[in-house]
Amino acid sequence: MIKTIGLALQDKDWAIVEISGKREFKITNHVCGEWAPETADSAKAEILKKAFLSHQLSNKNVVVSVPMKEGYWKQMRLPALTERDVNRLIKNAFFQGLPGTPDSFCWGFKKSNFGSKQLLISGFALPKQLMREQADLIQKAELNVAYYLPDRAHLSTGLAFVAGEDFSTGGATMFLIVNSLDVEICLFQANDIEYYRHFPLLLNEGKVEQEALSDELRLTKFMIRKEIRSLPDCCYLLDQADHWPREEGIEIIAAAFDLEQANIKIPSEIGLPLSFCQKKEIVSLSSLIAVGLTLEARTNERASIRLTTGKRRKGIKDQITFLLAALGLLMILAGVTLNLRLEHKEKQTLLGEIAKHEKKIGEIKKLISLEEELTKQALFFQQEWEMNRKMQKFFAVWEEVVPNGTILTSVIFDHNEIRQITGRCLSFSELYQALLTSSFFKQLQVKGEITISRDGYEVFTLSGKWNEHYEVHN
Amino acid sequence: MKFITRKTWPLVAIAISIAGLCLRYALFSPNQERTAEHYSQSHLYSTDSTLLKQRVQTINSLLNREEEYRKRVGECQQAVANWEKSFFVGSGDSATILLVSIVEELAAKAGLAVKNKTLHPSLSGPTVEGWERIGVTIEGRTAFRALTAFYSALIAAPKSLCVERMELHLDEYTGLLSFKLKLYSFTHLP
Repeated sequence: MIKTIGLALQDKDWAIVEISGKREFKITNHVCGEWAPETADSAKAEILKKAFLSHQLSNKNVVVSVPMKEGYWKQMRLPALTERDVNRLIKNAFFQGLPGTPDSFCWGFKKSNFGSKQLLISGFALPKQLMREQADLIQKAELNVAYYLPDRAHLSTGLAFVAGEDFSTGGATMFLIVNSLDVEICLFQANDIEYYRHFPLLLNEGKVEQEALSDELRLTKFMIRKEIRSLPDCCYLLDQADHWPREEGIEIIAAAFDLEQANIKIPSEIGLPLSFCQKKEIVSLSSLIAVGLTLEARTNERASIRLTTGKRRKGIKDQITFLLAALGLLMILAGVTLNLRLEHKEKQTLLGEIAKHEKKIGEIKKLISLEEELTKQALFFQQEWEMNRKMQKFFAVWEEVVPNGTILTSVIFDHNEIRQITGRCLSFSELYQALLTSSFFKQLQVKGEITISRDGYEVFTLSGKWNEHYEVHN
Repeated sequence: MKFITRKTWPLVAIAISIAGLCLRYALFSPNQERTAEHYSQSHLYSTDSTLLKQRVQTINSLLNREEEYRKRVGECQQAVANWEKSFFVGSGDSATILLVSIVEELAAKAGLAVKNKTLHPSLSGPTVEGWERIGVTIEGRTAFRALTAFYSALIAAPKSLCVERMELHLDEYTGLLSFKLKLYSFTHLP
């Protein structure tokens, strides 16, 4: 079962509400209590810690309220630009007129379309110092915060859920909260806060300065008219201090806002459960806000103004970075593993293939070496035989090449070389020229001198290698 | 497990993956005793798959050419057998006697007058393993025509007879050639 927990923290009291259910929500836990405004944070933290423990409430992802009157709430209309430009514009417009730089605030905003070309921006900023104090209290109470929400912004939602049919949902609804030292005015349209203002309550000897209050209320009316151009249809008077008789208050409000007295409701007319009332006429705002916070947690993130501390934002960013890095590393590991596995499988297949044909390959290799051996043997016999043919060929070619009148007198052939050819001819130069033109004899060289015999012949001696490149054909 | 928090689970997953990889591929082992199968496995990891692919390619190529090799071996065997038929079989002495008788027969047919014969039952020189070189040197005087006829007969003889050395000298007065031919062949030892 999905459970969400809202924690509302006020000056004088606190409330924890747990809501369960998926489509139909049900309050499954409601704890509230009071503390004096001067109570130390450590004592407050202890109270909260005990409350969570004793009611067995989860301390994870708790939605916590921040005081709206301590911060700055603004509603603006901006042209519908690109996301990046709008965000920059919002920042500039929102912090214009605020006492401090954007860095000194913890802030958030929500956007909604306003007409076709405009955006309606609602934003809230809380000084960082206050946010830190709130965060310290929560940390001491050992709670894990999902995010912070401005308290009054969710009052209407909480009241609507608790009061059910008794809560008027039509038109603009105003909440007038009278505290002991100030007055808060919240205007809601369909549970969305559209206007918020608070001003100090002037007291004279413990009694409300009615004239001053009336002036402030009238001023508020003018401001509402100026900013949102619609006045409230009904008003809920939530008097937390019991400063004045109820009728007087109703009269002042009716006069200031031009409302009929019947449209100004007090807690006893709303029909709240007893646990949501501190006294007969005093509503437990903390409890209503806590309900509103839990319900908000079930809505779309973009539909509300959620504040997070820098630490948590950083934590989320770090967590995302860490997760991405881890995911990346896992993917790399998976890739490497897969690659190694595929390679291993491929190697197994290849080795299997090699082993399968090993015997056959051995036979083929034997065939190759046998062929080499036989070729070598046949080549040897062939060469020996061809040498024989060269000697025979010598005389046939000699007859064709040499000039007439050439006579051989001595021939010594060796297996490897023409050792000596001696003879006589009419002209050695003519003979030698003829020999050089023949590819069979061109390697023959003259050995010794050419002498002239008594009968006029030139006597010569030649020697040389057999011509290796001369092919002998049968 | 208390330590597995949201932040630490990716680390745990990574550690398990690395350990799994190490175990799977045996990057480390507690002792050095390895079985034969383990060795073949480690060989499998150490061998480069490119080399294995090349080996498979070579094997396929050899298998495809098996028939061609067989054919070539057959051809070579035939060629060698033909050569063997044209040479002699038996010991050097017996083969030399046969060689001399063939030479005498050829010389007689060509009209070559042989005056002197020197037998060589074992000649030095290059030969094939299992074969021996044998030969004969013949000397004499003859006409050029008889010599060429003898030489032609030598080429066409049923046994292969080769000339290792040939010396011819012309006697210009008689017109006859004095010759000295050193013939050789091969005999296959039984």
